[in-house]
Amino acid sequence: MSKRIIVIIVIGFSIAFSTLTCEPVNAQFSDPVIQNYYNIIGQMQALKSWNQKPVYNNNNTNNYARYFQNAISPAELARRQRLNEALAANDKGIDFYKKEDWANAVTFFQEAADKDPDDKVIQGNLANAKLHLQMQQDEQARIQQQAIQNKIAVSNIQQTVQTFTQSLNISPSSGALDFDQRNSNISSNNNGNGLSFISGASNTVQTTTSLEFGDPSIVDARNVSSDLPKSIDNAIADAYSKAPEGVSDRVRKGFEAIANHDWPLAKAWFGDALNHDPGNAGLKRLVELSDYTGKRVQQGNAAKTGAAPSSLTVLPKTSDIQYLFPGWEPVQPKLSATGKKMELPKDSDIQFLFPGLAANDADEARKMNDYMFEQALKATENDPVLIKLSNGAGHADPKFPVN
Amino acid sequence: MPTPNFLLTDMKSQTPFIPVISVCFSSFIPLRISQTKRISASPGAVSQHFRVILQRYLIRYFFASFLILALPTTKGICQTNVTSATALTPDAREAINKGIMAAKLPDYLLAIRFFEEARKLAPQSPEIFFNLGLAESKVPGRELRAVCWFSAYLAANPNEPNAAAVKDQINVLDIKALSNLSRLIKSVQDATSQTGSYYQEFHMGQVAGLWAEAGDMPAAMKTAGQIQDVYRRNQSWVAIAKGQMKAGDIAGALKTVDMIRPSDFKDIVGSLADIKTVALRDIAQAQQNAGNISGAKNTLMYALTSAALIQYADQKVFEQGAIADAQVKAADIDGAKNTLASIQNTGNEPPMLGIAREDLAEAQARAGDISGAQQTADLILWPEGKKMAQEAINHAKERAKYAAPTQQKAFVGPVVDIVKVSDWLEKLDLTYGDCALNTDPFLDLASYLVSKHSDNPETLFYNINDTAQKIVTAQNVIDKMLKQQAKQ
Repeated sequence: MSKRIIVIIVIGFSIAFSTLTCEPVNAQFSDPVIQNYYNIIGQMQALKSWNQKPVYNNNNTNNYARYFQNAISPAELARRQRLNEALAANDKGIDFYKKEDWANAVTFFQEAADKDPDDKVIQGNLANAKLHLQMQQDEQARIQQQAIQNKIAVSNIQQTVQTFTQSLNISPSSGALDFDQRNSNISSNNNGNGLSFISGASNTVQTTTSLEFGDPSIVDARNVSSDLPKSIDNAIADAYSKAPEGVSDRVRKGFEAIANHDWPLAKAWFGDALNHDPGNAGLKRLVELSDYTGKRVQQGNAAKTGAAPSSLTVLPKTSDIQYLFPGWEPVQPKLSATGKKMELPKDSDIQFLFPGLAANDADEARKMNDYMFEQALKATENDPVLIKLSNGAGHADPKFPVN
Repeated sequence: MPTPNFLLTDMKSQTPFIPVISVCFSSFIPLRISQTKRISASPGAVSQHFRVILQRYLIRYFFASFLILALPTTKGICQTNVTSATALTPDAREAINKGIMAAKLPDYLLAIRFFEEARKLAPQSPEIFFNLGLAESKVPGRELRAVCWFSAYLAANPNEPNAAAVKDQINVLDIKALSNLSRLIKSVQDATSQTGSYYQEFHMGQVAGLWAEAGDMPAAMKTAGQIQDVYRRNQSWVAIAKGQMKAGDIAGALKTVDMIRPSDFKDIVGSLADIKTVALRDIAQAQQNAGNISGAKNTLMYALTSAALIQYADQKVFEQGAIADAQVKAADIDGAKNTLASIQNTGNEPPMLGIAREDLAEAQARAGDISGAQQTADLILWPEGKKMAQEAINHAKERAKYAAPTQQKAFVGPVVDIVKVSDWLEKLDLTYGDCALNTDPFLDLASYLVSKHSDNPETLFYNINDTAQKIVTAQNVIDKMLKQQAKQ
């Protein structure tokens, strides 16, 4: 009796143990009760994901759950856990998808897909999100590219506008009047174009008749004050003491203009003086010198602003330079550095520069020459030709290009 | 405390008083004579009476002569005092002197400020106009303003000794302004190539229009020739024609529009016909404004043939209606009737068709063609237009009882009057309109262009293009005034 009882008990326990420990293969869903359980779990999960209250038979579920809890294998539980996590990740992905945050959507859909690779819905979501992300990235790249292109285009347009505005600023000093020789030998206090400001009350400035176009005879250069160094002032007065009335005043105004580096104005004054003393070769030289230097300065300005050198600018020939700058050396500082002294013009040279002046006027002429030379150097210090010459071997014999 | 400019004001205010006093004084004479006539009723009174009458007429003749002579004389007196130095108050004189000192520094902007201050004290002083012109001519980009100041000076003082030189200076400044403008348009053109947008060729068409308006037709045609797209190229020709019209070259505009040949491009025949028709209507309007009525009529007939090629029915009817209305305004009543009769009835009445019918009915009624007007009015679908036409017909019926009908006259644009000082000053002070010289593009172009910066190249292009458009329009206005003043 006891043996039978023991055998029965052992068999009973064995059956019970095998039932609890062995994972049923495809059996878990074969039982309608178990199937129902999974259905309920699935519904609960689905409803939870949509934040809806699950509807199920609470008593039955609890009973079933309690009954089958111990009947599900850990692997299955882990798989189900993965599925649940996949669903949760998918839900998060959907949230980001709705917010058009494609990068996060892809991240969560990818996580979901990793956890549940067989789910077609998750795969579809992932593909869509990836497509949108790609489009977004393409659009961003396009915008970025466009921004770069726009920046370049804007820069180019700005450059064009800047070039225009620069030309605008240049235009008054290189206005059309510069090309109108009718006014080239007319002076003006305003470095202008022959018209002077008028003031009816002023004694020194005439009213509307202060117009100075084309008629040098109305230029009143008498009793004008001078800003020149006294030595130069005296030199001019002495050198042109025998010249017709008004010539020395005009020459002085010319030198004043040189002091202001206004070579066209200087040329105008010298030209005016020449009109009063037509046979004076010295005045003619002054006109030529101021004309030459003015053109050189203009050429230098044009080079600075990137403009092509004016075709009107003609460099003097070597012979001209000899007349204009006797004993001239290209750049003074370098000459002194080499120890070579600048040679002052000889009296014979002075005769070339200021022909007609008596020998006892040579000193005055030399002073004027030096002054002009100094001012010319200042005016043409950035002259590319001079710089080139000064950098070349030997400074004694500057070679100017001969036209 | 500024001294009131009493001298200038007095001289101006005295001007009308001299003839007025003369008239008043002469009006007393008959009264005194009539009193004499009543008193002297005695023998020999007849001869006395005739002597008195003779005396009366002599005196009246004397005062009438004085009156006639006084007007130009007083004008001369007034002008002399306005222009003379003594007409300026000490404050104005001081401001001018300060301006001249500033100009000599040279600080031209400060000088302009002082001269403007002086102008407030003596608004009509030619001396100030001259100084302002000279100072502004020294400021880059202010050439057009300087031209206006000098022109105002010349308008006030055409016979000044320096008039010839000032005219010369005006020409120089005008050319300088044109040179600046050309470079600005070139910049706009360069900007076009930087936009790189779908509308790039449309922008090129606009630039072509700018060139045309600036009078540089070779550059305009060259720019248009660079446009590849057929429609855009044709559009550019329209822009060029508009530019030519603005510059006053109506014949040239007609030639340019004639280059548009819709039939040569079957795919876009309707679109090309549309733009051509509109352009021709504009040209006809310009011709009419200029008084060339027959030319306008011919152009409208030409526009009609172009409109026939428009493919969209509503658009075609709209254009035909607009042409008919233009024909009415050009007093081509028969042409308008024919045009309206030729319009196919689509059941709709586009606005222009209703307006044209209403205008035609009114013109017919005024001309006494009551039945014709009634027929036209009956066709109108637009209620308001129908009502207005009917009122015009009723009015014409009433009027026919006591007055002869009046034929429709062509509307001609305003005749350009003599250019006066005030016209130049008005342009200089304007802050709106076609020639607003008191705005930034004319006061400080460089800064204005900088202020129009944008990070979007297309916007930047539009800003520069708009600036160039303002300047070229103003330049044409000024040039037109200069031509008119030269004729005076």
